[in-house]
Amino acid sequence: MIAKLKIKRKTGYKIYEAVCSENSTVAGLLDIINLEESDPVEWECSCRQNMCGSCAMLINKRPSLACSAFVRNTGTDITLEPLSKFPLIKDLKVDRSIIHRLFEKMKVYIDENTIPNFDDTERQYLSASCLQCGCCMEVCPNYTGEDLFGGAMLMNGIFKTISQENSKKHLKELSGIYAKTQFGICTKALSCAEVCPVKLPQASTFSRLNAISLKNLL
Amino acid sequence: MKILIIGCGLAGLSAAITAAKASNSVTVISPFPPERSQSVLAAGGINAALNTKGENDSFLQHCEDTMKAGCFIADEKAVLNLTKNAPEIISDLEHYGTVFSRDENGFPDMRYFGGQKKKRTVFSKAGIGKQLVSGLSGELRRYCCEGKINLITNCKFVKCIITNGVYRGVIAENTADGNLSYMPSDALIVACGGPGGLFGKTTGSSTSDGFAAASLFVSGVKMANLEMVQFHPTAIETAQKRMLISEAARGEGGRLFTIKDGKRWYFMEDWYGKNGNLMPRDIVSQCIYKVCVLMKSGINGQKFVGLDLTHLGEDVVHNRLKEITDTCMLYLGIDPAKDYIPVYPAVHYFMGGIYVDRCHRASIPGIYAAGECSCMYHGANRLGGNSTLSAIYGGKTAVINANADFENLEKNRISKSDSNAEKMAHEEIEALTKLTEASVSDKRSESPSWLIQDIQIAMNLYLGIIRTPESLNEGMRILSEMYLRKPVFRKCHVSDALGAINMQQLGKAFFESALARRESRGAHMRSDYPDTDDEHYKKTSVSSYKDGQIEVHFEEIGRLFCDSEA
Repeated sequence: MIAKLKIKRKTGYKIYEAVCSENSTVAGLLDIINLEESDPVEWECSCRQNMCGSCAMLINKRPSLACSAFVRNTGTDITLEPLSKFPLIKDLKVDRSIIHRLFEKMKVYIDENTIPNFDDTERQYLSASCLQCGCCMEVCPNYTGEDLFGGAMLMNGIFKTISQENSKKHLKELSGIYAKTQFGICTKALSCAEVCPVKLPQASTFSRLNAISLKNLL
Repeated sequence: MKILIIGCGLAGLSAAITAAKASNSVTVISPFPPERSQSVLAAGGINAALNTKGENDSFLQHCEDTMKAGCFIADEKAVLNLTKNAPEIISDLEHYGTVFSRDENGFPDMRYFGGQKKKRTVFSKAGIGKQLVSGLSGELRRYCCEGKINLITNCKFVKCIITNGVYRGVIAENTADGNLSYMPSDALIVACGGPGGLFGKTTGSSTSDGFAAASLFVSGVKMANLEMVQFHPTAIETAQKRMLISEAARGEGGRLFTIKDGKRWYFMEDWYGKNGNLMPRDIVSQCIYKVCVLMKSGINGQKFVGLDLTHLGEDVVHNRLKEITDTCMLYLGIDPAKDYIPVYPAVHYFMGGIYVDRCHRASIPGIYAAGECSCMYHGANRLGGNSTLSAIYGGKTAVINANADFENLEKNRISKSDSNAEKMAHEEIEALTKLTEASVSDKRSESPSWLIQDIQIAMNLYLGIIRTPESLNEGMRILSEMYLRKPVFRKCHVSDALGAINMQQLGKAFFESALARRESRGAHMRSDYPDTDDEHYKKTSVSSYKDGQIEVHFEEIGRLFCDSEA
């Protein structure tokens, strides 16, 4: 069968065709297109197996990873656009360095050596599995990129740190910034859980995080 | 001391943290943040003889297993340092918040892994890489917040500036706008990952393009043991890459077979007995090659054999081997509890790379290398669980030694002072920009990816699991002819254009090294020299590049580039 791809490029939408099967992925189709294309479509990719978050883009308007978006789900009419909430670099490639900056501004790091906390190990493992791909930020009704609110991606990072930090001082500081910049802003629309490529249990992580951070503020 | 680090995978992260602790001025450049690096793909674990399982394990035993797997061409003193320091690295990682799976006593849990006699592989379920990167990047962030580390993403290494035989700085490309700039430093730590880009579809990341290593090689940095390329025996073929099916599948009882005369033939068990499926990686890969290529007995005459897990039952396959089930269901539409998995070996790891001594010094003063891009620790074959360890330990050791060498480097720099380095860098930048000036309408103009693809075809066809003199010479011939083609590039990234040119030379060096080692050892299997020849080749193969010529010779193992050792 033939897939018809409509790709948003610097100069506007361009239509491509590529031979595909039900099991073809959008990443595989982009490779085929770029082999022939004299001005290759720019897109980010690294692991090509749903583990690194590089290839996040809008696939038929839904934020997804190109390496795990299959023709059997997308159908053969496929529209590709860059994520819209990050500055465009070229074609499907965007600059997601705001993710690193948000982590820095929120001081999401461990100040004093961690002592393993066995109650939350499972959830810490999951939070550390966040790909930082930006799909959740793209669909979040509250993420605008204009303030410190970073959506599910940032909240997973904060959860891991708050549940591991040993320094009382840094815990209080972290919990304080968290309460001010994330806690009250997140409206629990939970579209983040719907689009997450690694299916993180967002709702229960937020509620656990809210509970721990409130306790730290008392 | 001003330290510049290329790459932010495990080796780069570890180097940056060590340098910040030593109060160096640290800059890390990488096209992407740590979360996109190949390190996140590591599945198995990280080896350390913690000896918490009552098995009387020790770092000496860990060293012995590593040396044996590497067929005794790794630097034993270096390996001993590695295994001795492994427990401390695990403890550092715990402090940074790395989440390990725990045993009933609260210690990091450990599992058996191929080629090791003791339970020594610390793991985080089936996703060690992601957890290690999360822990280390958190620690990196702390120093970034304190202003001690400058992490520059969207920035790619292009070329280093060396004058009078001394390293001065690098030319880097802003991958967003394409601008080139010169960044001087006292020392350079190369942590750019393995050159997977030479082969294209590997089990690794497409960002491990090999351009940095190839550029350094052409600038005069020597390479070692390039012929040692590890093939993982069981990978599945998908349209976009080869994906690893972990050794755990065979560990749980998976059986390899093909179909002969209409019946299943369990060739590994037939050739090596009951535990044949669990032979070391190099041997299993060579056997699958033999079945599919030499005997032309792959399933349906195709180039794959079956990995059967169906007899293990749905519970084992869907739970204990969950990641494998997920990958097969998602990418092949196969449920391994019901159907066999079609597998064939794939390029997985480069034991060889930038020639460094056990202090991680490269052959040019001021340059250090660590992680998969360097030749350290694994000799002719790598044990599972040693790559993560060696990347972290290597990055740390490189920086410690760079600091110890600082005075010497300073002296060297002053005695061979060169005020022209900066001028030279700017001339280079001008010349490099011209590389990509051909217009699309110029009929001769090429895209770098076309060239790279030709190189990949040659590497895959002629530098395979079993190497014949004919195949190696043919590979050499193709790459040499390609070099004569003097390509003209259309508008593209300078790093890609230069990469395409330099990769031909690096690829040739792989063939030259494979031709020069006239024996079979570990991952290097020669049809015309099937035996191991310790007398002539229990040595390091060293490739160097000068004025368009590649030269390969053998050196005694354990050579130091400078007498001191930190």
